[in-house]
Amino acid sequence: MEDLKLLSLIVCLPLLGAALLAGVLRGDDAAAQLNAKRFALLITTATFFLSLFLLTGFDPENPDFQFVEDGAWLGGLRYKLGLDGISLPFLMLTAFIFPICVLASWSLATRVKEFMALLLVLESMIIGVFASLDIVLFFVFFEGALIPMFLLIGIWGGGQRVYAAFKFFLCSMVGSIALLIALAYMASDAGTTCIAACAGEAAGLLDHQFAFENFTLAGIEIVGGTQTLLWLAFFISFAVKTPMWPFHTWLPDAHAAAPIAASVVLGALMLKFGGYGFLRFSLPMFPVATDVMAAFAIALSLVAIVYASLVALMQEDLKRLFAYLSIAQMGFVTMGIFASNKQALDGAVFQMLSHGILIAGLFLCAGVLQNRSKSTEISAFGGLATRMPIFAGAMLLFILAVIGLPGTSGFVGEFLAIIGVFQVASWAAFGAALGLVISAGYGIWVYRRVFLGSLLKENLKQIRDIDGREAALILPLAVLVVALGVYPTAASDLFGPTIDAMLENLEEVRASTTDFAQFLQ
Amino acid sequence: MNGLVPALSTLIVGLSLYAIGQLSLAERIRALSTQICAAVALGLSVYVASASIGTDRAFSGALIDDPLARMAHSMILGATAVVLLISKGFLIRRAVLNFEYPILVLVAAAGTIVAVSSGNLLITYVGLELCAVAIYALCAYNTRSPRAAEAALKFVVLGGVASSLFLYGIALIYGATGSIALTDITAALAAEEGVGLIGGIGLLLVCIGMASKAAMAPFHAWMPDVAEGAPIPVAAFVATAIVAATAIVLVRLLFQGFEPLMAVWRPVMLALASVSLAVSAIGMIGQTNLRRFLGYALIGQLGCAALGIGAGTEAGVASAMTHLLVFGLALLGLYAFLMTMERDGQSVSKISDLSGLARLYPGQAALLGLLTLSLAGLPPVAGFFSKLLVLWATVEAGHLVVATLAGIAMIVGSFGYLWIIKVMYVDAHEETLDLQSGPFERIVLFGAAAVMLIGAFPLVGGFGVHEASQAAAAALIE
Repeated sequence: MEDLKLLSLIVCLPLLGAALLAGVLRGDDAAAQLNAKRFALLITTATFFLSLFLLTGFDPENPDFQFVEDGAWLGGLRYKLGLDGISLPFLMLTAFIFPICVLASWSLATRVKEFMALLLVLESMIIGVFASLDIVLFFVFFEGALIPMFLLIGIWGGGQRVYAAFKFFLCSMVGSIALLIALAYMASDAGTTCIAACAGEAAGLLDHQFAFENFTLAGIEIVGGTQTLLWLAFFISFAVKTPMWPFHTWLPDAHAAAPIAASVVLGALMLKFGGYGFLRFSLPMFPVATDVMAAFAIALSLVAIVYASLVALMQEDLKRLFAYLSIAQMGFVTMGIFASNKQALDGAVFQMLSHGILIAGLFLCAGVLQNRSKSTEISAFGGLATRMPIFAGAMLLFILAVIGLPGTSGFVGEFLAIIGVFQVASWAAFGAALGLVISAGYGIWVYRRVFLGSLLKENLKQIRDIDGREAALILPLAVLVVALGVYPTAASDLFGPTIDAMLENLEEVRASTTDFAQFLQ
Repeated sequence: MNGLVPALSTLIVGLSLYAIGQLSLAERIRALSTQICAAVALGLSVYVASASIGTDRAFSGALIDDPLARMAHSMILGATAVVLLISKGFLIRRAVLNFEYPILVLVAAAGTIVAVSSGNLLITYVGLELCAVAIYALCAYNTRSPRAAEAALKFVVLGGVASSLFLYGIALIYGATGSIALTDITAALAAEEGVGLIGGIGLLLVCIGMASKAAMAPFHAWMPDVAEGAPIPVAAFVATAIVAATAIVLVRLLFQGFEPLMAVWRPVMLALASVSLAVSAIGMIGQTNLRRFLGYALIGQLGCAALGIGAGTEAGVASAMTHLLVFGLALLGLYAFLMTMERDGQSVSKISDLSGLARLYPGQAALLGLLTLSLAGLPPVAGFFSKLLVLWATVEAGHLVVATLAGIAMIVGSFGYLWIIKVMYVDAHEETLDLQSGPFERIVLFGAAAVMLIGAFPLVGGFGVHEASQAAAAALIE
């Protein structure tokens, strides 16, 4: 398998598919459109099956990077890919979500070829983000995902699509530039852009200790010195992506305007860039700064959970509701990450995977409603359960998982994160639990308003339950929600050892910088 | 001396063609003057790129043939050839082509060729003026266009001011150091304790004069007007060959002549860079004319190159050279496209004319989009990497604040570039656009976009451009 360059193949296959689609397929009639959809489905499915080889070939006990590929790139940069226990689950999630996205766009009738090509480019970029082991390469994929998403929202969106697309792009760009400058500094400080050292190399960024002596900048004492500044730059970038309060305002607009497939990708995958970035860079590379800033980050996460949940209560539109719900859910993730102990980190990663599946399911459900009634206003529905029992059941499962019902994947992530956070900041855990209570409020309320009661609206009297294609989209996600809820070790066995190793390293650094720790206390 | 070949050949070819044309000796040659000039430029470009290595000096150091000069010559001649090839169809359609046009372009190129390899301030001045006079004439080339006349007039006045500032700076430097040869100036400056006031003012005037010629803000006022008013091929020539060459001249003066005064000119360059990036970013927003937009875009790209120069290091110069080449190529592609835009037989250049391009001409829109992304510095295209190199060098040299300011300007600037993509892909078209693409326009558009994309691939290694820039920078700084 080593010489097959499996990882490169998985990164490039969708890109090649997009090039073929854009370059070879001609015409815009129904037959050509169907061909474009079929071809995109073929490519994304093939990518998914290829990624299964990664899963079977991966040794979860080994916390090092596996499937490593390394080659010269441009002027001193490296083309370096690899996976560890944290990135593999996200890569699998990506490969799993994209065929669903293609299927979810089956009824699309305008500019289908371009849509599918952009979706494929986006898949390559997202897989690249999770697979790259060079920070410049990471940035290329990270930023490269913006343009296809910008176009997907701008061209195929509804409502204020242009506004939403620009807001999405510019907010992300602010974060990206902060990241870029920090990256340039890191590269010149450490003398390498590789994230991890591999055979025959001196050291990667993970082995480099960035300076953390305090200094004064413009009259302000920077505790943790350079590390804190770098941490802040990374924080801006990833907090915009996650999104954390107060960097979140682009998300509701983007979700409200984006076509369903783009919303699924955005919610399920691109929001994970932030959490993944924190785990890949902020925590292991700036341990001192993480200790300095942890309380700040946990406080912001807490605000995100409570504030976003409260705002979610007031939403009149399903998609905007799901956006705020995402912000609250991702609050658990960031809270867990910066609590940085075993339970909290396990919980954070699990919560990211769980949220990826849940939010995909929820947006697909919103898409079903949008297809049938051309609206996602909550007040446009009511009493749907009588005519759409299967659909109502699936949506109930997703909403209960958001609330954190035991037996669903949502429970495991939120519960672990709260336990972990409780050990370092009990006040935050208390607040997060309050957020869960509010989530039960909006979750059950919105369910009541859409599905329960009597079916009064004339235009909904003939509404059909989900058909076979829609069921094929939603049911696998529902099954995953339950499966991960009942048997969470299936996922946590993958990332557990990597997180253990990361924590061990963190402890080592903390021990070697005891003076600093004492100073902090 | 090989270093004389490009300048001499271009001048000889240009002047002979002029004689032939004036005397109406050979109608066939007269008619083919554009192709002849393009072929000469292209051949020389390839010849220079593959010429010997090492450094050579002639006329007691007044002309220097080093990797920097050769890279600059190759870039200038390459851009000249491309501009000549793509402009013929356009000028014929506008019914303004005559045989002087390519000769003026070639003479202007010869001027910059002399200037970039000059080791003597007066020779630099002569080269730049040779170029400037030809360019003034080219700007007003379309005598029926009042916009062109306005652009040319502005260019003449501001260019004249820039030249006189430069000349005055030379005089002051001569007064302070007793020489106009770069090597002697360096020696004199290094020997003296501290910076003499006269020498400092002289350096400042030289910097301002050159910045004005290279369209760096706040001395950029002529650029948007020239970009909008001058005939498109001329604007393309100015935006690529001329300003890039001027920036390279500045590199040579600063690093070879005024190296001991780095503490003086480094902040000046960084300030120019920051202001240019800011002016460009703000100027691009809300622009309705594509040509004016490109003028502002160019100012930002030059600001980025100035950032690399202002870093004051070898890596900085190398990144600036790479960036000059990358954005020059992207601009050539964009201008090649701009020349083909027509409606009802009239050349059009409003941004709104691009609306719906992705539906009408999906292939061209995609290529145009790639070039725009490259100018915006977004991955995965080449423009990202050259900007990354510049930022990298700036950060490495310790100018974190300036790098951050530049980053903010890039965010604002990305809005302007993205707007073009939005217009092409999102907006619906109202009137159809005719694209009068000849073979050369297509080749240049496609080639530029392909290089932007493929250059960033693994295994291609950026076509060795950055290695060439590094060699040029290394030879310059030693």
